Amino acid sequence: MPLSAIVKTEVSENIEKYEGRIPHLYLDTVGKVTVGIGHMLPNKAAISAVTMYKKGANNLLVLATTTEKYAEYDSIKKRPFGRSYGAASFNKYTTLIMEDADIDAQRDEHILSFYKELTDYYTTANGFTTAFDTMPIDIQKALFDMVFNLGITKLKKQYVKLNGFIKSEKWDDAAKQSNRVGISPTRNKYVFDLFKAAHNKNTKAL
Amino acid sequence: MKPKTLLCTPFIASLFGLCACQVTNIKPKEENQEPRWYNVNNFENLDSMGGSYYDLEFDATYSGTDGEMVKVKNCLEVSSLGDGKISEREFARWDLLKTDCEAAMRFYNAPKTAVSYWPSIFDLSLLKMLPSTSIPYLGGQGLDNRTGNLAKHESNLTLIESGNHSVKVSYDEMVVNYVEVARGDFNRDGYQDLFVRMDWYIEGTFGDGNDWVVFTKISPTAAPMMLWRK
Repeated sequence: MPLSAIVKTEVSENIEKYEGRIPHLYLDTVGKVTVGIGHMLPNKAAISAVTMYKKGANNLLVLATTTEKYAEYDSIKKRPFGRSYGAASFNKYTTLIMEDADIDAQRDEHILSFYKELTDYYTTANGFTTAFDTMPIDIQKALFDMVFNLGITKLKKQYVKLNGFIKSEKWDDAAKQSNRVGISPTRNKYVFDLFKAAHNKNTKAL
Repeated sequence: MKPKTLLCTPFIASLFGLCACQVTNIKPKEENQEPRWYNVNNFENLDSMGGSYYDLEFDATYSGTDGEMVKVKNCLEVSSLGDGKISEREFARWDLLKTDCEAAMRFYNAPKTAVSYWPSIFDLSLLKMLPSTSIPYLGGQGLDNRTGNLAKHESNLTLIESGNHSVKVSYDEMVVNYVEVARGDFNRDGYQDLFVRMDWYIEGTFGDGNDWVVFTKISPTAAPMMLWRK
């Protein structure tokens, strides 16, 4: 079953809200070379798979070569990083950019990869009443939000009680177990409210 | 020898013995007195911390939830601003500043010197000795069931790089940079404590952030103990 369009639209918007849309290379707070919507490049070789352009004459975009992308990676990797350096502050040190369509495609790949992790874990075979795709839309959105920054391993291992309540579809109790540390209170409330909404819809249906 | 001298000798000897004991107790304390310390590299263009909270000034800019830029100049402004004004994409960067300010506040409140049993260098061997709960807490299950030290609990702990006051390691699909932010007697018990920030990210996800812990060490042989955490 494909990912619900409603869920995809909302998670696409959210991921951009959380990560920003930065067309040039930058270093995040821990010094990882990053581009687009939070797309981390684990090493120099990884940039060869990213479509980037350099500005040519009359602002025409010319496809960057692998050598040019490597040079850009090396140049940014040497810059200082940390909380004093926001993503936009790296713009003046860059010569290459990504186009919006490529950033969107990169984001969609991430979403699909997380979707696969969610559908592989939230299955009836793993003890859940319903599989991920047949869970309420609000729950799908909430789990997407959590898997974005925890990954499926941490979501599985660290949130044992939460998953227990998801198994028994006790959305109200799951809401109370959904709190994450290190994200904004607004984002925590967003996920809490999604579980609550699923609970309220369930209650009304009964 | 006169009887009077004979009578006095044990008393004088025991007095010397007592003094010797006192000297033995005090001497290491004098030797181990260390000044409080703050990692000034945490603040750009900062050479010294000064003597009070008001001496620490900086220029930090964040995008706000309303689209406007939010500027803060000192830690008092940071603590009064609250989290709700900062855009979500800037939250990790904002949270880092909050942690550095938290450490600065504790640094200023600590006595100028204290007895220290910490090694002078914050390195992998020290990191391995920290309690096993010295990992970033991301939410969900608590860390109470973790016992022993970090090396014992995280057997796949791998060194990525060591800096002047930091050690970057990976374990359990997570990369954690442990940064020594401050040293000082934060709980005022006479012994120097260590404020450590843990900058983390989870490989293959968008998750990153920081957590912090404070450790104490009350004797040369005592294992580091956790005093507080975020």
